[in-house]
Amino acid sequence: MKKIALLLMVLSVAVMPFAAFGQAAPAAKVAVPAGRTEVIWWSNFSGSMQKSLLTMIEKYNAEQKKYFVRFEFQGGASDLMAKLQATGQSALPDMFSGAVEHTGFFAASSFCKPLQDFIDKDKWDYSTTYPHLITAYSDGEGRQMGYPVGNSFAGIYVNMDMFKKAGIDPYKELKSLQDVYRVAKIMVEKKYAKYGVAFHNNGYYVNAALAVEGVDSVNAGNGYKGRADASLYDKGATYKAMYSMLDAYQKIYAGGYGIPYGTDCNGEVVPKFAKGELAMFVGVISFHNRILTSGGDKLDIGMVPMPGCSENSRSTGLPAGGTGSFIANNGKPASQAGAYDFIKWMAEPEQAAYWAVSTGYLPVSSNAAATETYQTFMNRVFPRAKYCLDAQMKGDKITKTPYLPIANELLKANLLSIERVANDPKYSIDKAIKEATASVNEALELYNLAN
Amino acid sequence: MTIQKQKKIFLSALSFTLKVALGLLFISPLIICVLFSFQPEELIGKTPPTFFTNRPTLDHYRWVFQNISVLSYMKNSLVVCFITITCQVFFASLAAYAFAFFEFPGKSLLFTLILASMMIPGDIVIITNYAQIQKWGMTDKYIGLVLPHLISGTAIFLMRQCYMTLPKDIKSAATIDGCGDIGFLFRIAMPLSIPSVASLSIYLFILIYNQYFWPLLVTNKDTMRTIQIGMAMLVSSERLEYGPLLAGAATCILPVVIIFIFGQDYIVKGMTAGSVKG
Repeated sequence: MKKIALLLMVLSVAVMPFAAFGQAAPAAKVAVPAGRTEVIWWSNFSGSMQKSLLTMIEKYNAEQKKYFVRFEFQGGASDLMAKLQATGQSALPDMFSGAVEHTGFFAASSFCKPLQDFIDKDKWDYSTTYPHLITAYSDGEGRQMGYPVGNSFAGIYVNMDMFKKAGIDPYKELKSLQDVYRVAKIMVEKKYAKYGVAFHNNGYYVNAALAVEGVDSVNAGNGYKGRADASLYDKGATYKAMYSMLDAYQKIYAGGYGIPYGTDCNGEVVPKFAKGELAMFVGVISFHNRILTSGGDKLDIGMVPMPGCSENSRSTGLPAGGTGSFIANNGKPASQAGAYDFIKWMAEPEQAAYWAVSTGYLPVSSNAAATETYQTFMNRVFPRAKYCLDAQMKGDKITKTPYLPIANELLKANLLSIERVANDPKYSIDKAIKEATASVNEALELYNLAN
Repeated sequence: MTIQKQKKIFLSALSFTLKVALGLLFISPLIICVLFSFQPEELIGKTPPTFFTNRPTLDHYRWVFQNISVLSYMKNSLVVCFITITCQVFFASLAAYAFAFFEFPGKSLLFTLILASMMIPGDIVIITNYAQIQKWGMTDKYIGLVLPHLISGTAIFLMRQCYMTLPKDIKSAATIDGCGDIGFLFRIAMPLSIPSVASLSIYLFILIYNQYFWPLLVTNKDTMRTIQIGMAMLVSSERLEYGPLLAGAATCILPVVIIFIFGQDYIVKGMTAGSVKG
């Protein structure tokens, strides 16, 4: 009897939402209209970002009568990569999403067809796309492999009110990670903030900081001039930059000026920042919407471009971040042409601006940034996005993260090196650099042996 | 009341309190998940956390149900669970019966091989299995979702252990009365093994219902997706909304909770079956 009562309670709770809200129809039940070519897009976009993408796809499908794009969610970025690698050519989709740092991996793979093949036939003019994005989505010979969808921007979120009280101009004083350490120390010791700094824990920021510094992470021109076979972490200018970067991390955590490294950014860091307890945190632009919905809409938020590693930082540009679209090598020219058409459509200023506004990413081109849609958003919601855009416009083709087929291994080695020095104030920085170098070299050697 | 009686009542109360506290501790993630799923997004990440809000909302549930095909995904998960459990119980019972009641050459070796198959982690063969399912054109079909899981060493082992506890005299009596092996298996052995069958079924249900990577590999169409993939659609590495995620998780665990309500007695009985040799 007790069990039946309990079951009825559980079932009534279960049925309530269905009755109250109705139910979304499975996407695949919408049939492809007659005479159209279906374009399958495998992607890792989820949550509200997926919702925005589906809205755009619906618009594209309604605007033209030749193609019909269908979105297929394929799990996280690593799940999608694993599936692409394991799928036979004829079962591949027509296009797929991929992180910018994996461009090298895609170029070396058999499942990606260069976008340049389609651009050459069509003479598409995409020159208003930010130069650093064009570089990052190209192979070593300058051929376009994919095109950006989400233009991420690595930088430091700052609580401008705290910085004003402290008399510090973050845009002038935060040029390197050593500066971040110095300012975090002031913020905590002079009690302007409970926490000085926090970091989004991802190995990407190591290569981003090295790129801003103006040094290469691996040999062969950072992988762009040939096949890289050695990490430069333990050599010359890169070593000095790495040492300075890890030294800054170690001093920050040894002094107790930061929220522990590895703390969940969405769950803990962003709420603390929104609550006004944290002076700054290193993250990417897509955290901005999360800050606003966590109560940070009352704050004056600044976004300082990603700093370099040391006082020698070149700091003339920013490396690319975010996710792009690539065409799959599935041997189906008609649907590949549809994928290309859709990628071009997504790059149109109005579409790119809509995507940027609804996701918090930056626009991918100066044309998109100039649209009324984006300008209105920037003025109303995030005025300081202007600094980010200015920094991107100043971006050059030199500031770039490495072009490698072993991006996952590289990011893991980077992350581990930071964790080691951040969690242990006595950990030898030289040892951490040597270990990261050895890991990257081993991954490169294994890849080069097998390919 | 004697001191001894008072002491007994005190110890009993203390034991009860401790058990309740432990129970609450174990179930706390579930309670927190449900409580937070009714809170506005800005309250969820608040420190210190607020467990009860004076402005509860159904917004997160609304978002989940309007954007994710929960009903379709859940139906697929339940179909997959049903097919897998039925086949595993059926095939495992047949194999286990042979190991428990028959003597044949190579029996020990064969059983050792079955035990050895339990030592191979599923992740090692997942890509090769996917390649094979693709080759056979079974993607986006229930057969592709269930095929590699229709029989397992664990199920055979559990059922064999259960049949080993059945007294041999029952088998002899049944044989004298003219009952064949198939009749004995389905009319006598299996009904006597209900706790083990139920325990195995519940174990398999939880295992299959929670599968993520295999259904992700062998399905592409939204109509064939299972519930765990639906939940993954709520997770984003760069921008995470906890409200919809918690609402989705609270909905997704409902079948497991229902199964557990009805099956908890069998789980305990099934776990201990075979521990005492009869």
